Amino acid sequence: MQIYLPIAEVSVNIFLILGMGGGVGFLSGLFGVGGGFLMTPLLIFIGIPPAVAVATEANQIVASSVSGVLAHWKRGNVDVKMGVMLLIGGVIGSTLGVWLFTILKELGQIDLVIKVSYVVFLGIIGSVMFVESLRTMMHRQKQAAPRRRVHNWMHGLPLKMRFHRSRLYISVIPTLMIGVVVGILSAIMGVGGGFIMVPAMIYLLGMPTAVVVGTSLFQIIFVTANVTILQAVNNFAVDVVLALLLLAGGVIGAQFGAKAGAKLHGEQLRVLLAVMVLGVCGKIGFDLLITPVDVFSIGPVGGH
Amino acid sequence: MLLFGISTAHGEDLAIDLSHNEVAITTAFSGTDLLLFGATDQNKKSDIIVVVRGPKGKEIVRHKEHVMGLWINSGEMEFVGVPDFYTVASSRPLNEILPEDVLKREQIGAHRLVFSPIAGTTMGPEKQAAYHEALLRNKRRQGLYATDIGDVTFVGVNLFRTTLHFPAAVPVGDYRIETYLVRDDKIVTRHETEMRVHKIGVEEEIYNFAHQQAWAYGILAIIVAGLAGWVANAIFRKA
Repeated sequence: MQIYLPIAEVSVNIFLILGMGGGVGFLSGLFGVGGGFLMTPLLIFIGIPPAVAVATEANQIVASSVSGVLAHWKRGNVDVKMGVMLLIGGVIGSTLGVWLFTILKELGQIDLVIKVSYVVFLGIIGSVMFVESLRTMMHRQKQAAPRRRVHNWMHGLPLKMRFHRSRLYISVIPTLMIGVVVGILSAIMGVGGGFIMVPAMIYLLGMPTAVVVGTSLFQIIFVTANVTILQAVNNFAVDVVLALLLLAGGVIGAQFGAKAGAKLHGEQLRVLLAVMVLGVCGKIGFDLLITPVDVFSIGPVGGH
Repeated sequence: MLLFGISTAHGEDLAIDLSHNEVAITTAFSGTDLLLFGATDQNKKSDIIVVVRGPKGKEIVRHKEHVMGLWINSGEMEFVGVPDFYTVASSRPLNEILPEDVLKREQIGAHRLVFSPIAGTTMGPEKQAAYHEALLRNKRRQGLYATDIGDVTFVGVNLFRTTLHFPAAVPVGDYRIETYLVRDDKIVTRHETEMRVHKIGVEEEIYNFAHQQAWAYGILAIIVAGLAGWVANAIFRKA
């Protein structure tokens, strides 16, 4: 059954979109990630204009983050103060990102920048995660992973602030910087940025793992909401019909994913996730390298 | 809704009728066919050419080059007066009906369309031709410029009909359908009909809302997403 998307202006199969939402939802429930890094490339792949894919996925992530954060909120796993600091950076970053997005679109380079960003970030994160989790799997019997306490150059920075929930007394500068970087990526790549923020919070800020996911989801809600509004105003690229379809599939998929995830070990999950991240990275990278079907492409001037 | 028009440019009548004078894009829209039929008032053997032209706009053509191993957009050219959509139907192959110079003058057949590059281009004519050719090729690949000439069939000597196909990706706007009555290598009569392609119902409302009240639309999109997330969480807990 075909459905015509009012903003994307393409006709798509309704079951394909629901299925994609379900599949990515399953994986996000399984691995505890947002899934934006999988969904945005998939949407572009089935013919949704890249600008619409990025903007609509931001809107969908608002929903999945709200759904996710509520569970963490109940268990007290959200460091609101840390979240707000990340958010201040995030709002600056995402506003900057949407502005960059609009300029790059006019220059005809947005597709390239989206793809290169994917290859670079997924490549780095995927490799680090793969190596790290393999190492943990090998040494699992010998020792439990030590709690990471970082003492590095960041502790010499001014503007120190106490974060009770995270049991940290650190400068807000690295926190704001992480927020800005993730905000820019969120606007350009159509992702929540959890896959970058979570490792950054653990390894750079030294936050306890328990509060990391809840705090990251809390912050992602507001950053993706900012991206949604700015994309709607600047690029008219948010398709609510598409977002709702993805959401419907995603909710059901995430439920099954979370159940399946409970049966697997953390390291096994991480290796699987790493393989998947590297797979997406490889596919996008390959497409940049092979000779295109037509070296010429066309597009309307102004608007999408 | 029927549209009826008579044209008497050279003293010879040509009556044209369309099954609909609009293409309405609904939620379930996946392309549609319009039936065009018409009649001439003389019992002489003649030929018919039907040309559908979509609204004209600017189009940018980009050229990828191999830079440091990657394929990167590195050249571009803007054209004005490019129809968003173009298709032709005729009763016989075009070059058997009309001489090439007439076809060129009337821009009948996608490869005879004339677009002007935007003023100030410094590209040589060869490069311009490559971009022009690329524009046509991409439009054809997107299904917006017909690759084949459709059939106009005669029922008797002076009654004819043809089916005009509009794909799912048909652009919205005002369309012009030109019907040419041709005899002895000459255009005897030309008839012009207007037609509209537009979104209706929910499609139209969402589109207009998104474009006219972008702030409200963005905020509403977030509220809807937030509520959906909250409902999802409530269902999760019970399950």
